[in-house]
Amino acid sequence: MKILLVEDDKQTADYIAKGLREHGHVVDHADNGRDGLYLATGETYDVMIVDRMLPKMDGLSLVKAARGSDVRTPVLFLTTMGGVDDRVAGFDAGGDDYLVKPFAFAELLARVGALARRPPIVPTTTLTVGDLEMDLLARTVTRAGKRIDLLAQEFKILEYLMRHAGEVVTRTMLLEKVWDFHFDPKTNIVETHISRLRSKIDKGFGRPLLHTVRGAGYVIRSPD
Amino acid sequence: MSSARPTETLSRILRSASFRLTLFYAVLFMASAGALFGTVYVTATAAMQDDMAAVLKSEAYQLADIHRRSGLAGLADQITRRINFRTKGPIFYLLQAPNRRVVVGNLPGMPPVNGAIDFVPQPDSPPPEPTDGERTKLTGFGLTLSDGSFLLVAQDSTRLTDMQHAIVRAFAWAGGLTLLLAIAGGALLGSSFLRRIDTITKTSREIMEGDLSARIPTRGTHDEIDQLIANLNAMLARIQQLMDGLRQVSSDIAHDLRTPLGRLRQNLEDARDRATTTADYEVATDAAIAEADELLETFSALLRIAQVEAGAQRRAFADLDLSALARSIGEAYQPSAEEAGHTLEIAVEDGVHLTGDRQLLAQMISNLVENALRHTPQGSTVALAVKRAGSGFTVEVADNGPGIPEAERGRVFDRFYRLDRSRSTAGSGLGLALVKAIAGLHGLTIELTDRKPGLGVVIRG
Repeated sequence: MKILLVEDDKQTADYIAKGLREHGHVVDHADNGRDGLYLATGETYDVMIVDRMLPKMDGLSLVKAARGSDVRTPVLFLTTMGGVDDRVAGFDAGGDDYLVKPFAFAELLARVGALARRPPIVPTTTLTVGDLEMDLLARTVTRAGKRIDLLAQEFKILEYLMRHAGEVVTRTMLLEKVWDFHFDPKTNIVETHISRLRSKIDKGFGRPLLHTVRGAGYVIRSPD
Repeated sequence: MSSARPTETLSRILRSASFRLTLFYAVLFMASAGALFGTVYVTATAAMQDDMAAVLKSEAYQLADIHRRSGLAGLADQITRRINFRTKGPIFYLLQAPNRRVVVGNLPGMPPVNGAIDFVPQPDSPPPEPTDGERTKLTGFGLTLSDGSFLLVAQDSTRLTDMQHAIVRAFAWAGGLTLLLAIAGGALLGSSFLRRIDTITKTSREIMEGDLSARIPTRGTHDEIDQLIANLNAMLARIQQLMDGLRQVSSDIAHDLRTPLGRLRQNLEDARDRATTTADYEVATDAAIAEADELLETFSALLRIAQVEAGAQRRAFADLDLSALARSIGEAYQPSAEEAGHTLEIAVEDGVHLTGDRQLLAQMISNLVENALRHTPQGSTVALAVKRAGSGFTVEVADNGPGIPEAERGRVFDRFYRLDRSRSTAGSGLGLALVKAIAGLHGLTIELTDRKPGLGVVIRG
């Protein structure tokens, strides 16, 4: 994947670029907003990672200007400003996701992956991972033809995981997408929901589909 | 300021707003008094002139009547009698034969004039009556009689000028006195006003120099300035309270962050001294990361509280379904609650709406639920309820745990405040402070109730 990183703090930029390259991505780095905009409009990227506070041109203006020039690349904002207002401002400017500093690298990686492979615009009515099937219209789930009863929140978790099958989904992503919680609960609510979900979809079936990625999150993938 | 030189004080008084106001009113009053004076002067003068003219005219026609009946000699006789009889408030007479010879009278001869006439007797003739050395101005009425002789009846017009002078004098005195009183009053008012302003200035300087406890004394008169001072004092009290709060927070932060930072350091030291295998290092770094995360979490909680308290988050306000939100939060927590051996009961009435920040309200309810789950022993029941109450609603999170001692209830919403018995459990001591801040931002009230046993936190909106 080709990624544009616009970040003025050298240490953070090196840390992110190094990590992304280790995961096989190509990274272009700009340390100010103007150079960032130049690259964003001149080259083609899969994802842009943009810091909010940048010299010469701030991140919001950069993204607004890029969107004005018809750049459709998904944007992940990095910021130390984690207030709700800041998040709203980020989305208003044309950002697609928002990550508050400091963050775990695994979190960044998962979000970049999710942004790059955004679900197709064509609406699907069924999701399939291995022998697990989800009917989005009937709101039913079956595995190997056997009906599985899920609670509403479990259904939403599974739907999100299946839409991102093969990708790591972090705990924070689930909190945001399933519950719309943009804060960190002190209770292990994600873990307990996942463990219940797991016992429903994997228990009694040969090979497990739902895996925990240590230090990062969860992934659902076909065993083949 | 008492130390100011007199000239400076005077110039300050002259510049003071109240003095200028007084002066303005003095000028206004003087102007209206002037108008009044003019009117009185003109009207009184005209009235008196009319009065005098009428008296003279009637006298002249009376005498003309006598002339008609008794002839010139009879008239002369009559005039002589009248001159002799009238000693006071005299009327002067002149009867001139057609050849302009003075027949009788106490006025010098003059060319005949018919009708009203103002004149000064000719200088070569003696004054009609001794006056204060000034030549008397007379006002008279002349009549040419049927035989061609001339009759003049005149009156001293000093009466008129005397009256005019009296009016001028009276107004001059009254006006002068008014002006004097106005200036004195203005000065007095100005200086008393300035003294009170000086007190405010002096106190604000004391406060600027660091004495936050200084307050401006009031007079107890409950006038506008007293009200202003009372408001300023209330504002100062509020500022002092905020400053004290800030000071408290900074020292709390210093204290409470020392512990996790200390643990972090200890973990790293341990790793350096004892770790030999990769697994050892992994354990140590994981522990360090967990400590660092906790620290960061504390910081962002503090930041969030500060943002919420500053009321800076209203941009995300929208109408939202509190019932649905509460239910979804309850369902989110139910599995973890059960796993921890608690029962989480959810009793949410439908249709409770309010305008607010969804994220913050979600965090508020979550914090309350988490707080109840964390601080009650295994087997306890936690109940989350949303009810409609009149035109408003209540959100209640109640438990049947040990509750909070009466004496500590007021303090649990303070930052970093933790009950002694919960010092050992996890938590930053910021959860309820954030709850209070969020409730405050949304104009909700918060109340702790004793459920005997247990604690109920009721939020009313």
